[in-house]
Amino acid sequence: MSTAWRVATLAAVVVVYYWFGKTLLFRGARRLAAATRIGPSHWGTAQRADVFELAAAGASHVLVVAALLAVTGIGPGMLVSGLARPDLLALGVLLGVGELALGSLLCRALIELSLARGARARTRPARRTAGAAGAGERRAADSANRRAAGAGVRGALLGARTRGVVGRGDRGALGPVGAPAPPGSARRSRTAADPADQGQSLRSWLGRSRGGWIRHHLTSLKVLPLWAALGLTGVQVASEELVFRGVALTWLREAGPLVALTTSIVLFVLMQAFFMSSWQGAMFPVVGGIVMGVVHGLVFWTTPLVVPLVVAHVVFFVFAVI
Amino acid sequence: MSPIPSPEPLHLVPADTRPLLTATVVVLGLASMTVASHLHTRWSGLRRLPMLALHTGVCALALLGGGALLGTGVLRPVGGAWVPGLGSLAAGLLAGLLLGPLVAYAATRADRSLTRWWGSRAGHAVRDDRSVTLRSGRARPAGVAVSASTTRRTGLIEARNNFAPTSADLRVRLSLLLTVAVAEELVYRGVLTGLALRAGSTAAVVAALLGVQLVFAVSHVFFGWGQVLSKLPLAGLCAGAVLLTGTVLPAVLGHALFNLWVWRYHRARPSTAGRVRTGAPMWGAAR
Repeated sequence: MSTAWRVATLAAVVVVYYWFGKTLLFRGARRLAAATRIGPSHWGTAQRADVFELAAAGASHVLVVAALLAVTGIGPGMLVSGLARPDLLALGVLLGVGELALGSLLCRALIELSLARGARARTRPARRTAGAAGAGERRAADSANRRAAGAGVRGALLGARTRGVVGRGDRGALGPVGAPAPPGSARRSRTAADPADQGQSLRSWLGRSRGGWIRHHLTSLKVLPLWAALGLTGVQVASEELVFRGVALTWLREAGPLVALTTSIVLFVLMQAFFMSSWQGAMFPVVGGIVMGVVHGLVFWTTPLVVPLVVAHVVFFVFAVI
Repeated sequence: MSPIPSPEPLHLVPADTRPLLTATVVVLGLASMTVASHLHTRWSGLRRLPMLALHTGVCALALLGGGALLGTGVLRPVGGAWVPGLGSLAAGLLAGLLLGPLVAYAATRADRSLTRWWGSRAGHAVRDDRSVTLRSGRARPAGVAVSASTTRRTGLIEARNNFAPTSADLRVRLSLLLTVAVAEELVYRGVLTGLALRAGSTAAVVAALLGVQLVFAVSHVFFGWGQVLSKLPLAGLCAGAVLLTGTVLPAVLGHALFNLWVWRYHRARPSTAGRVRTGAPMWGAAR
């Protein structure tokens, strides 16, 4: 089979199984959760559905790995390569922690960039709206704002900080429709550009990251016994490692590092974005997938031992979701 | 002749272990402060262990792996010097001793200028320009201000990637800040620079060197973009000094003196936290 056919086959596996196949699996799991009461009685339907979806994904993933091994002719020895090397397994644990940290550092930088741009964008329309408002409304708003500033801000802040805060409070006192500001709005209007406000925004970003397929793992960790939750998560992410490093890079080794690594990384990152509810939520698995795809791809290309990378992947995931 | 002298290749670790160990050292070294922030928000923050102590511990781990890979190359990452005449160890050390204070002075001036510019651009004062005497006055917040000043989002098992440092995180003993400086320089300018110089082609080496300095600056994103920007000169000056002299000594010396300046600045700031609240007894407060 030529290199192009092999790349096309792997791409087809990603689209057919990871997108269409999992869509059907998840739909069936949700219907099963709604129609039956399998599991402890205190589980809600949504929790039951999340656990079922993760179990279905894990079981089907094992079948996909077996099918790929049969199709590609890669021996089952690849599944346990590196298992007898405790030093490499220990390095895999540290690698997983480091990869998660590097991925989250990049995500944090992107979030902070987005927040900084958003803060500037929020302050500009407020100023334009204030300029378009009628003079009477503006005078009323200024009066209300001065009262608020006098009551709330004066005396609480000193020196240069006070000048900056009150100035910004005056400008931002008019609301989006130019209505007079209620008492106390001088302080609230400041928070749009206040670094202290980023805690809430950061939390909302992190909240979005817990949706999509990540929700399956979070729910399982909450409602299942720890061994069962870690087992389900382990099967799922270990299968991903076997597909995208063990099978893909071994099967494409003859095509050279550029084709093999590019195919593995692109398909792996693409798969991470499936079933996430928004691009903000998808950013976390995508950035983590880029870090892991590059690092694991280079390591496996140099030393084709898959079990230490499976350990790193599992540790990455467990450290990310707990 | 290659424009960038290539150090000796890595032979200290078995060939099948080397790629995984190298990858582990690189990601742990690059993200050492982020690992520390994760551990801090989940575990050590509740036990009042400073984040910088964890950061030092993670750096030590990366240094251990780097030592296994590079040996004494951690201290002499370039394997010579880019300036003719400084190739010997004695000449490199002497040049490092002379260059270190200059690096610290230039980095301090650049840091001060950049943080002031960033503060004026953002419309608030980043630095307190009052005299040390006034800044270290006896007036302290009281009542509600004291109780609210050290609040932090910690303790949730799911809390991740939302580390927000307080002044107490930087208000630590001088010895810890100096240890952080040594550990960071040995990791970033020793191990990671040494590995970057072995990246292969000239373009890859230049990209890796620039990437290491950029990630060093971005790792300060928890303290705000102003701090990221102001750490770029420190990273560039330290890396330049290491490449010029061949040893990591000027970077260690320069960063240690830079952190001494940071320590003096934070010690002189009015405390918003009581003496008891600022850390575990083993680390204590700066003052």
